[in-house]
Amino acid sequence: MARSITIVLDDDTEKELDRLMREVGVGSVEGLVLRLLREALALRKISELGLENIGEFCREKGDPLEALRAFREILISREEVDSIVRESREEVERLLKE
Amino acid sequence: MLGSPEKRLKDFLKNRILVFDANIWIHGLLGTESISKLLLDLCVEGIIRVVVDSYCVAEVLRALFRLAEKKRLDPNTLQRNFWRILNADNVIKDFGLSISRSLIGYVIRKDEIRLIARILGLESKDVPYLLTAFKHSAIIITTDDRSLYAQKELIKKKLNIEIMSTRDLQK
Repeated sequence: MARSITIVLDDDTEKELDRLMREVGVGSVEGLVLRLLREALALRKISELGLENIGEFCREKGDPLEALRAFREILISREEVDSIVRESREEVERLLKE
Repeated sequence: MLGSPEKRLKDFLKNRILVFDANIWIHGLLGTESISKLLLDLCVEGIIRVVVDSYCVAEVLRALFRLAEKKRLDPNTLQRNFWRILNADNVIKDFGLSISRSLIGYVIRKDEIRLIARILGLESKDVPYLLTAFKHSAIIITTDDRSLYAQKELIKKKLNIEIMSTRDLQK
């Protein structure tokens, strides 16, 4: 069932809210709340996959050749890798399906 | 064609932008499939240009975490090394926003992604690769078990995006 909620804002918060809506580019408070809610739900799904810290190492710099060499030192069979890739692909796909 | 497989592949892929699917990345990183291994070598040596989006990175990272669990490795080390490769000059990171917000964007746009998947007869998980390739006029390199490869002729006809498998590159 659809739910409607009422939130009472003081004047200062309302001004801030107007500014935020302009910056974010949404035309209504309802639109803003829905957008934030969708983002929160998406974040939960990402967290379920253990990817909540996905941005933590993204600025990591270093010698890519050395990084590749380190990967190649891991001893693993092609079959094992195939199974890992398949399982993880299905997990990430849940993000889009649910 | 004459020359070593590496030379032929290098000549063929020179000056093109490529999208690797997660399988290519993982097999290439670990060296468990010959063509994927060669593609990653060429990428890391700066010979070919590769574009990645947040969805592909999420798939690869998830696989690396699983690998760490199975082989009792430090997941942070794997993640750091992966980012060292992604941060090379010839890897284009098409995140737009920060990677986490970009990934959230994919999840939020799930209806659009499912719609594209349905129109083209694809699985939803393959659509992000298609969007990235479309944006960068890139060739998608994939394994031949993916829905993208099965629909390659339709995709070429409708979107002019070329899709190749590791098997095609061996020919």
